[in-house]
Amino acid sequence: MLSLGTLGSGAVMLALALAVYAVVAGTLGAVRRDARLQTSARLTALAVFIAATTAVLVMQAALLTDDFSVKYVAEHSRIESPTWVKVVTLWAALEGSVLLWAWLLTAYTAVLAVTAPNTVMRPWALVVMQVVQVFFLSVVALAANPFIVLANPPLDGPGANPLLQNHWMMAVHPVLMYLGFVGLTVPFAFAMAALITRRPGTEWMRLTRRWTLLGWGFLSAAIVSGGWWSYEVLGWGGYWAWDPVENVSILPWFTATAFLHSIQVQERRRMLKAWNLLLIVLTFSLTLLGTFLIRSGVVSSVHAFGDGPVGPFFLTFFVIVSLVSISLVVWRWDQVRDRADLDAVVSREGAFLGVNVLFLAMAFAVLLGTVFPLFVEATTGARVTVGAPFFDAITLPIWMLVLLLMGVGPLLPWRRAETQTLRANLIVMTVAFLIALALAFAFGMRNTYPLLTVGLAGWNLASVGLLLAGAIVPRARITGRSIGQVFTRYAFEQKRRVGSMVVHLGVIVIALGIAGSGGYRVDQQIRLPYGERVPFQGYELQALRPFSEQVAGRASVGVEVAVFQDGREVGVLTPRINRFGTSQMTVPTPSVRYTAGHDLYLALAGAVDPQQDFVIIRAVQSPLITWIWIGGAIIVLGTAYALSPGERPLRRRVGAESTAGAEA
Amino acid sequence: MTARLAYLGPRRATALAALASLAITAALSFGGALAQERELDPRVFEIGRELRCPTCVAESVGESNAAIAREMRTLIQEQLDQGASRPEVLAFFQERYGDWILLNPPMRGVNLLVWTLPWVVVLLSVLFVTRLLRRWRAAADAPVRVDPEDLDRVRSELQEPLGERTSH
Repeated sequence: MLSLGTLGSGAVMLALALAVYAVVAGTLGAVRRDARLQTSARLTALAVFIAATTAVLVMQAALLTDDFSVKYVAEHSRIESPTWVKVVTLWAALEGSVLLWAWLLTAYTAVLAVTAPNTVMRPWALVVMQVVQVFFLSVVALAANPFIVLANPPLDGPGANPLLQNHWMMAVHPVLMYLGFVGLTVPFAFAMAALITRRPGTEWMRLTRRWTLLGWGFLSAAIVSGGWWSYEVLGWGGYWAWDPVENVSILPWFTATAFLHSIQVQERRRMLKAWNLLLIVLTFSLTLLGTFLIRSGVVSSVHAFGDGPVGPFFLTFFVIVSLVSISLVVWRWDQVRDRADLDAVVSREGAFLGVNVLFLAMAFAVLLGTVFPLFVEATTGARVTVGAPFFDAITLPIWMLVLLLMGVGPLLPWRRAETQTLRANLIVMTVAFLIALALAFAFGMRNTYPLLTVGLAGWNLASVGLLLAGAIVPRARITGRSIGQVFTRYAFEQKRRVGSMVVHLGVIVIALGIAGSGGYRVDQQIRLPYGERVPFQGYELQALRPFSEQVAGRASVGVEVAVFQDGREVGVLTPRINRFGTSQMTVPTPSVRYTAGHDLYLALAGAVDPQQDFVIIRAVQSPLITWIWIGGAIIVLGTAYALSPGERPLRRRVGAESTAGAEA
Repeated sequence: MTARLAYLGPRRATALAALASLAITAALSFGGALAQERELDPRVFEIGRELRCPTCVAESVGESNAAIAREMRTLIQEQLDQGASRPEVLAFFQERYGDWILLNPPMRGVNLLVWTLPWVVVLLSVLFVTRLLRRWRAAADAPVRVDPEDLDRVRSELQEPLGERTSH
């Protein structure tokens, strides 16, 4: 009988074979300008997607039917797990996540094959996408095959990693991350195609603008949701620890953010051609390097869920990608070098250049800090530690400069800023900065970075206000309409611009959240005798009673803690310890009271023993931390708004227009 | 208390400590899996976040739930109770484990590299960009040379009535 394992392996093999064919046919078709071969390669992209989808569906079938003859299921699933856990088990370990990554890549490639406009670049861009596909599918087929059939299947498995089962966010965060990584592959593919076809102009970035924004949006959402997952699961009240996995996930985000800004310079001023190409190459290769670093076990991390033999594959592909793409840039140097001119440093393009330098510096510092211990140990044998305090010390000043520029940049016109307007704007912003600073000071803030952040939040709010006023007031004056009408119209017409303002607002909100929670967090371990009210940071905590709970695949013990504020009960928190399946690993699961001002976060620190008349809990008060998640949501909204289809350009056919007119 | 950690010996302690913490975790049943703890001040966690949890992969003493991290937190509290200051507590651990235990790499020896390189790179890129900008400024200031033939063409095209050509 055909087992699911064989079927899955077969689907992967078929997808790989088809992808190899697509690369060959696509390359030949592009070189010989053979339309039939090109079409064949395009259609094959759909076939690859169907084959890869089959593989994913087979894996889902195996997970949902508890087919333990499939190795991946036997190692990572469990009969009594709830259905949603079984579904997300696909990306709960290495082999499955590579399969997911490969599948998303085939999906994007198929969409691209169908929707990309027919230009000279399209065949080559598809070839690049398909080469990347061949790489991921061969990793699935050769190094991390989840479909290996076990001769003696176990009766039940251990279930997915408890840390992953502990929160529904696990269903979302990894998928967002891969959607981001894969999304940024598209501009990379078009960049390569632009070099190959000698069209290093702005065409490739206009064609991929939406993809870039989409990839960036997913990556941002993935990073913020990952932080929230840490906060809700890891039980120490934080969200970002500069752990290697976190670092390598933010590296491509830094370079992608730089790219997102600097392509605007090229679109507008035809400058920075080579630089933009290098940035997208860097972004794509950093996703590969990052995967190598954390999956090969060379850098250890709390999040490294399952090491495997895929490290060498990723390292090799990283080296190949970097060498080939940089050679391409060098080969086409005559076309990509800038013959630019610049009127003034104080201009929009000047600000974009500045932000480029800042993000690249941050990426360099974070990469250096991440690999430094590895590097030192390999060369001298000494063991050194580079931890969170280092990363904070290096990146915080750079972030302050980013926030500073974020306020100035959008107000500067292209080419040259008019000194008078600039001065007037800067005065308004400085006043806002000082007012915010004074307010923060009056509220008792004394730490440098949080104070500066609040000041810069004022600076940026003033900047957005000035931007909107500059766009709306003159329009209202000319047209005689109300501010509200003009604003609605403007927001509808200028989706990219308004979207970017919203994203920048989201960044400010996150910055405030980080300033509050980073600078003014209070952690305490306290003893709560049952029935007694114990003060903590303006609250009173009262342990009511211990409880235990048994649901499918999960056992919990915990304590109900009543929370009092000003003598009034405001809620009951239930910090607990979870255990999944037969795993010996216990997961202390915090319970959080979210409020706009600060969160109250309780986690069990000691045993819940019925014999004992008290419980020890870890209580954390984090000011403003909720705003990090809200800011993340604002960024996603802003990105979605900028991506939402705007008004169609006026290119309707006369006939269509007249019928539309008749109907109206 | 000091003895409790000292028997592990400095630096080489990690493997032993890992074994010890495994044994401790295994010995306790569910529900009692978290060893009994005492009360800890906020300062303990602040200092703990500066120290690496020796048996963990990438967590600080302030964050980790590993047995050794719990033990070290207790130790920090005891030292604070005895009136030790933050630098003194950090020095205590540094003496036993070496610089490796500090998450903030001390600025000496090979660590100087990690502290200075980012700023060197910032400086170099600023220099590079400044040079680039100067070149571009020069290009902008250079008089625009126009081919007389082109100029004639543009002039003649400007004479044509509007709307006949699509403009870009």
